[in-house]
Amino acid sequence: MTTHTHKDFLDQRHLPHIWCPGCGDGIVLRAYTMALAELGLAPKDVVTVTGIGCWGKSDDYVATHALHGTHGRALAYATGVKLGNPDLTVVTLMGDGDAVTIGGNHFIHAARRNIDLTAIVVNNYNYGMTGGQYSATTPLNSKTTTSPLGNAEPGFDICSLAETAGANFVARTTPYHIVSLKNLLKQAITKKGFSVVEVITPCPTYFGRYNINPSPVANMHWLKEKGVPVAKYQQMTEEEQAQHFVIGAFVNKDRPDFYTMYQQINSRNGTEREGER
Amino acid sequence: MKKKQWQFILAGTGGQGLILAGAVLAKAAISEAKKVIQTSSYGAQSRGGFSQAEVIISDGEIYFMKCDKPNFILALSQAAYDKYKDNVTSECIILYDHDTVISNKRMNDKGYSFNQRAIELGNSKVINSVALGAILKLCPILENESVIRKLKEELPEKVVPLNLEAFEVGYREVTP
Amino acid sequence: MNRPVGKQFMQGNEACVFAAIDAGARFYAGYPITPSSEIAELCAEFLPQVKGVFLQMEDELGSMAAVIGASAAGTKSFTATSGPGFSLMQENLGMAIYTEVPCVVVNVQRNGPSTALATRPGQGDVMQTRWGTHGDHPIIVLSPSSVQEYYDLTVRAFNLSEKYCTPVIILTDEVIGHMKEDLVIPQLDDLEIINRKVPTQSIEEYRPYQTGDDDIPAIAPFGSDYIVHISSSCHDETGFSNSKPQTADKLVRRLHRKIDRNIEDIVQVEWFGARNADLCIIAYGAVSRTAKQVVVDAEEKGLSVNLLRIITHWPFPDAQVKEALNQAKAVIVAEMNLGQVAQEIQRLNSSHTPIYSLTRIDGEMIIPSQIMSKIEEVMRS
Repeated sequence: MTTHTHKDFLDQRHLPHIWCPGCGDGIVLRAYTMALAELGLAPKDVVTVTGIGCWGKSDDYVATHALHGTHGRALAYATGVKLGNPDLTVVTLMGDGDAVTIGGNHFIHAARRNIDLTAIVVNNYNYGMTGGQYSATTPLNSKTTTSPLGNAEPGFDICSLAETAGANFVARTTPYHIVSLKNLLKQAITKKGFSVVEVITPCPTYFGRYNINPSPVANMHWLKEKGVPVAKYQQMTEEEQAQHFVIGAFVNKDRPDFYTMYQQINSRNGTEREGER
Repeated sequence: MKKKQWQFILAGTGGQGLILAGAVLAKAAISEAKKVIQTSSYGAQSRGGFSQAEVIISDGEIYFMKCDKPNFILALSQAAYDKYKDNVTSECIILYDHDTVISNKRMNDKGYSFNQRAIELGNSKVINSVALGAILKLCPILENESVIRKLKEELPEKVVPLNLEAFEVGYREVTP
Repeated sequence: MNRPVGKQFMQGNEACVFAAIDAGARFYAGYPITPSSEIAELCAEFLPQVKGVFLQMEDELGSMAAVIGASAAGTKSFTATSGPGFSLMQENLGMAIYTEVPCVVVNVQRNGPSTALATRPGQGDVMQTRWGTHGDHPIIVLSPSSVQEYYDLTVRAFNLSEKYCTPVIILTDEVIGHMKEDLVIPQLDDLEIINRKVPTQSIEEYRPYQTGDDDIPAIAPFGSDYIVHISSSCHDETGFSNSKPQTADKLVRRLHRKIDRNIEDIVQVEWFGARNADLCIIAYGAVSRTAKQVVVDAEEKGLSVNLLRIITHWPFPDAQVKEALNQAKAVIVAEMNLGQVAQEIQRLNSSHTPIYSLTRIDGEMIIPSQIMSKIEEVMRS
């Protein structure tokens, strides 16, 4: 078996990437390609499916098979890819807009269906590519270019949504926590069924500038400070919790995935199939 | 009894098996190398609402697929009868259920006790087979044997004998 | 699966499913909608029996996306819907055209717009199939008028789709979808089945969107040794996004060229009645059946009438329609919409032949007497 390094999963022709200084997307991409290499996969085994947005541009830099489609539909394409060839490792790279705003319907149903896909959701709390408008994860009161005085809507908790909808593996981390990021991605990709890794990522150009700090370094510090492991988070008061977010793996179960169930149920014989006439 | 094209409308209530009866008629005609079209219409509810099957049987190509000049109407409900009584030619036979339909006594109206006879046979669901027998009697454009063969093929085995009996009853008791 | 063969009696939508499976379809994703739902139900029953997958998606946006995904993974795929769902599919129909992913979309038309008369037939989506998705794009649309033709054109739709790497739409209507009719299903060996081109370059030199003189790419399935990059953004031969103006121009012009240069292979019509008749009816789908009856009835009345039946809606049969316009003294276009095709015919009317648009939008079929009165009216004038 040929072993691959993370570089084999990157298409060098299109680097350097277009992301702003201080953006976490490059770090997540590095963690993703490292995870693929460490799992012993080859570029031909993997289909990277992306949507639209900053993180949706990441297919430009991958050397796996790739499908870059319309806004919000990455999971729907990926569902087709997986059922069209169940031997493939299919990973969707989506932002908060793709995953839980315009594509929210596909997200909950992919989780409910428990289709064997991995969703790496990079959450920067706003639409970076189109100029920093609010998304479905932008917190209440936050300033964005479409909520200049503050956001009147509360944001979704992506992990709670995935857990409630039925995902087999749910985790949250940040690009600051690079080692845990890579390890969580490996677990997610290996897990049969629907896996979600939410990566809270700085956007110093928009969300960070308006709500945290314009400095890339300050945004990284913010991630370090705000992201706390489960055990520590549980010891916090409610007020403290509201000022932080919890990182780590929250769901890790083995509910049978869609295709396994589909094959099992459809192997029933004719008499079971027929029912009453 | 030579006629190039025959248009049948089997109308009544959902659950009377009219669409199945239409299909049996159609498949029997196909087995005799005729051309056939069946269309159906029914309301939003699957059971209890208005239901109708239209079957066109022809020796040649059928172009227009709707029964615009019906030769024969089976009316197993008042709604079915009322829908057609004033919209068909005087030659068109309307065979109605004597038990549930009040007829205007058109020249070619024919009543028969479909509901009652089906119940007497032991299962109201065989009303469609009684009707098929009656239809073949009044419009002998197909061989009885063709229809009987299709009834055997289309119905679950355990209900075949009763339906064949129902067919015979309809054929024997309805007279031109 | 117990494949039906020989003389059969089937519903239109049923024939479509058997044809799709015969053509090699092994994936269906869709959302139930009247009057197309029988296609979903039969796929749910039969696809698993041929090791295929039926998937009921959460909506038609996702259905179309899943169809693209499965086809990109090498599995022939299709979906079926009606007007409201077809509207939702426009987004990813454009994606399939632009990324050259073969697939088949069946639109069993109902009365519109919006929810309208949900169970009644209509033909109001003709222009939507042409221009429903944004941007300049070619499209292939086929319109059957019998159960037999629904079967035949479904097989053909998959073949054209695979041959030209593009989605093909079967545009039918409630009448053809729901009516039962006799048809003959051929032996599998007697069917011509076309599969998409396979790459011949070396793995190192492979570029999925590179084409030869035929303008048709050889896009390998995901998972093959050829790495494939598919992008809804403007892309070059590598498949990667590329925003150069010349790339954008070259790609869209090639997409049109690959269809335009094969018009003769793609376009089909049927002439019915005397070719040199005084009056020509142009119709398609269910309404063409009414028109055929009228041609026969007219002959009995000593009226000189023929029918040009459109089978391929898009690309439009310009040459055949021009022939009709040049030959006949008048043309009647009968359709269950407010003259969508009549306007397209007017575009070709350099001979200034009188064109009469006969329309119906109440959810009822155009009946023979309606066309016959129009003929008599036209002949009097």
